[in-house]
Amino acid sequence: MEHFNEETWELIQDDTFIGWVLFPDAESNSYWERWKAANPGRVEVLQHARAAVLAMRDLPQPAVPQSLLQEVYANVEERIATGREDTEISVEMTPIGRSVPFRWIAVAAAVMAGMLVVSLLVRRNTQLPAMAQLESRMENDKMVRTNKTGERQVAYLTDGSTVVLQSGATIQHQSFFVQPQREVYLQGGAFFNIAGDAQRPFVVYTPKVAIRVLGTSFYVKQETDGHITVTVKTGKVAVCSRTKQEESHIVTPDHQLRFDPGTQHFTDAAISADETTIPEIPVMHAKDFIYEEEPVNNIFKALENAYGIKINVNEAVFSKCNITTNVSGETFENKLKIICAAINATYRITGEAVFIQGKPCN
Amino acid sequence: MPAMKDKFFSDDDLWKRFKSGDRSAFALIYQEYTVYLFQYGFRFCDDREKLKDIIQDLFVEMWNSREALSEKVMIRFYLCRSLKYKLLRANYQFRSKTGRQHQYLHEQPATITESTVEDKLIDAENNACRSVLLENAIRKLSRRQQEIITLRFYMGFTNAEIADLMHMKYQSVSNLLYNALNRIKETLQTSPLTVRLLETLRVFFI
Repeated sequence: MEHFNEETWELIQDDTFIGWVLFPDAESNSYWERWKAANPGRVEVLQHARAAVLAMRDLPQPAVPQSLLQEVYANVEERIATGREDTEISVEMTPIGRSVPFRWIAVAAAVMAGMLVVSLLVRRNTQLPAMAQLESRMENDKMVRTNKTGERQVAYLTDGSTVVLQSGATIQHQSFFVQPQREVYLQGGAFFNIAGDAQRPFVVYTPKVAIRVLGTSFYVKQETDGHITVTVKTGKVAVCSRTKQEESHIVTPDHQLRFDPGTQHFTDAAISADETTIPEIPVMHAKDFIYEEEPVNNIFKALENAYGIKINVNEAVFSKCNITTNVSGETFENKLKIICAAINATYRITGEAVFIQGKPCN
Repeated sequence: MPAMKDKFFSDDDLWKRFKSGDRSAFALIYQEYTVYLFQYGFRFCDDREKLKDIIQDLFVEMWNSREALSEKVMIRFYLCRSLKYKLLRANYQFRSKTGRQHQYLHEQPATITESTVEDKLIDAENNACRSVLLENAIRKLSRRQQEIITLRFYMGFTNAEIADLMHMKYQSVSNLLYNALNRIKETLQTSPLTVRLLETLRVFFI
């Protein structure tokens, strides 16, 4: 009897080989590319072993009706919702994944509905007129910020990153205080300047593509017909389709990646003339967080608006506290530290809010 | 923020979120893996309703005990393993109650008959023929050999994980897989249609 080809068998025995064929990612792709380069004589064997594995993967599996799956999801969802989780604030966490485009519509509607409330929250602030115009509110446990103005607006994130929102653009995210990942959902166009944090990757989601960032700045443009372009200014990002995750693309400075919603394909696009100047922080924001004899209550309000984080403070206590400082280059928490040090107060971050405590100034 | 399932979220991240009480991460887990649990479970249990109940219980128990679970797991493997133990237990309870055997654990009868294979062969394109030939060859394998082909090439489990699931020694996994593949090869070689479908052999055994 002719036995199974020895070299093919060796690969089929190899867990990392099987892992790559069935669930390829950037890391395993590059490993096996290097393997091929180092073993040119075995490339054919590799291709055949791969084809054999895929042929066996694609064998028919028992059919599982969608209705059966839905029954399970509904049953599990209901039972965990009525369980001991009931004591928590029960905001429905809509399952995401494939249903995200629909979710966005809901969010947009919720943002519109919440505008009345928002306009009460947004304080008039003569010192920082631009920042007060960014509509922000909480949606479930997420901060939603929408640029309703005709100008570009800056949304500051607590990790030190900044997002310049094009007119009409929306970002949605958690506070980043405790989350293991930094994730932002983006609708519309925005320029991201991401603070490096090797421990916590930064991921931007659009309805169609996901962009993984490693400390960099880049621009995302979404057209109404669904085309998406990603332009990188510094560093590099990885982009992949939300539906075909195995196809991921690295974008480097001066390159642009364009996603076609019709074909679901990415193409390298030439950077057109109007896009060579990537929008950055508008000039009107250059003086954000630079203060001269500023009432500290105003500063807390400005921080609240800029970061979308609720800052609980007894205004009467600090009414006589004025400070002069420049905290523009600092992360949210460092800003708090510096300001609190100046007025001899302490801050506490709990969940999604900040609490300030201290004594009156003379 | 709800976790999003894509390749950017490793099992590790998803698991961590789930353990910390992130219900959307948990939703991603059950929406991703329920189909695999049914496919795996059908091997041992053809009572669809019973299997459904067991899978539902599995997820609810998993949620309720999330804090006590290991810090790091391969989710697909963890779930299949839990399901197998649940099925074993259910089967044991059924047996001790009724004295009957194998209500939930039994040999799955072959689902494809010769005639359908031939029908398919007549109609199908070359490429599809290849997969039908392979299907046919798989059907000739023992139940355990079929199981290992699915666990290895469909579920993507490692040799160590398969050893655990199938209650075998590590080396036996390798032997079982090797014998299964050789048996497939033999079947393909002796198939009268193979001459027309040299491609099948070429792919499988250069």
